Amino acid sequence: MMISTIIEGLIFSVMVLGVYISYKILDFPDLTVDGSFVLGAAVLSSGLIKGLPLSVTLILTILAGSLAGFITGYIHTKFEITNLLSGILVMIGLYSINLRVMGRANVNLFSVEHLFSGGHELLIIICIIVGIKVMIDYFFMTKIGFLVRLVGDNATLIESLGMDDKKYKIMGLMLSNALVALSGGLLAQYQGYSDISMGTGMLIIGLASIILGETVFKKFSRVKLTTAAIVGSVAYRYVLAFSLKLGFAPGDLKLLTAVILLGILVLNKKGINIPEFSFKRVNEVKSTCSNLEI
Amino acid sequence: MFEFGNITKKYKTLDGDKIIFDQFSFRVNEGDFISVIGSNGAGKSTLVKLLVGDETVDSGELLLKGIDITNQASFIRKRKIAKVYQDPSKGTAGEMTILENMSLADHKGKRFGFSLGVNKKNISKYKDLLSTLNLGLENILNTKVKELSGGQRQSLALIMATMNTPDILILDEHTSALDPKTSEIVMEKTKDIVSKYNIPTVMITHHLENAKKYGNRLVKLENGKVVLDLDLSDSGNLENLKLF
Repeated sequence: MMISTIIEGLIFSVMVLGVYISYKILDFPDLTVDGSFVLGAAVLSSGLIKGLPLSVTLILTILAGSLAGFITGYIHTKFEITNLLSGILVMIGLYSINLRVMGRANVNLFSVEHLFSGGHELLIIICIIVGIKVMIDYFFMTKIGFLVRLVGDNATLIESLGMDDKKYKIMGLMLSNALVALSGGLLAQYQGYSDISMGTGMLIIGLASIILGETVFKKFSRVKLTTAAIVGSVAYRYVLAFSLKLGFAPGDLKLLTAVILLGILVLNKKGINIPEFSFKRVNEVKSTCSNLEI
Repeated sequence: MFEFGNITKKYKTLDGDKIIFDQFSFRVNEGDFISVIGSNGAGKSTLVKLLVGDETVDSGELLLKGIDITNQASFIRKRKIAKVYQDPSKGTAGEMTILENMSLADHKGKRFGFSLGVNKKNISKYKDLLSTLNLGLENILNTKVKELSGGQRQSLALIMATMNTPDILILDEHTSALDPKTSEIVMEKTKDIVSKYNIPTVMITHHLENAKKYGNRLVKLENGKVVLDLDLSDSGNLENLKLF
């Protein structure tokens, strides 16, 4: 029970990192994730069932997710459709595509070799998460990562730097949805099947996890937000597991998620912003600033 | 240097076309520090938008150093044209540190790749630049810009906009959101930078005193036409200005 909750939490945390990029960094509430999560599971399952090697299938899964992100970003920037609507359009479209990819609403992976068929699930998933986290943290320290950070911070500045802000918004969405699809693919392997409705409410679960993570680490302000997102994802799984123990039916979980998120939002009403890197240092700086001339 | 050649710009409204500029021509010369004044609706904002490419002209041409940039995308145009906005938050990234902001500005016009965004070798260069402001910003390089005051932020925006010596600098009421004292400090910094690097500058302002004090050419717009174009380096003209 406990190990599987951690593993699930870590698998979902790949998705949460994707949502963290679109929602927190790009300031883009991207509903595409509800579709691209299933897309990842669908591509991975079909690939393995068709006999493609695991590595190729994983690459295809990531590419499929980034393609979904590209489409959302493209219709948003090219046709100036609002971010919410662009995401919803692609999410709805993906439902049919996912059905086509899977062939039917539910496929199982019991008869094929996959990432977790040899056991060591926890070890494998920890390696994956650490690798992804290091890569994301590094990416956002690079010059190109700086520009992607500017998308949600100050898109005007990207233009002032002589760069096309649309390009970097699309790039961020591709990265985000690639992670979401990979997460869907990992979950399909771990639970042994893909289901057409497994992506429902993914964005909300992602948000709930991010906010939960931020709340957990409020006192520890030196912790990176990517770490907070990963821990938040695991914490969220524990909240759900606890709810099931209390006697809720699995079908109630989506309602619970909505209520939990609402609860966290209300509780955090005053401090919902990203926690500062170090409150102590910020206070020092504030006093320095106020002593300065202007 | 920069030239508006016979441009026409109109906006469509429910009451028909609203003509902002009709066959408008104007030249910015090397060494110019032009103060543009005029009441609301005179066309000042549209002039700036057309210059930096946020709006396109209906007809006519825009020339920068003799090159036709009429149809050039806004973000490409901005590689040569720098602008400081009225809102201090537009010229800087609030969630990033002063150091990261300076690194971004330093990299303007180059390729943004996968190397680290902050090059530690350049820190002393940034400190030198920031110390010219006398605001102590060089000592708090790792502070997020959103923690700064409006005046500090606008001064940083000014440094960032002029770091790579643009072909032309646009100041769009860049001190109007600041209190009078801060506004004066930022104006003085502006003057220092503009004269030090000799950047042709167009300043939109509502503040006639600033327009006279800092510009060397005063232009008044009215209904999309230049109704006054004075060389302020000639002190006789400044006397005449008192009549207004």
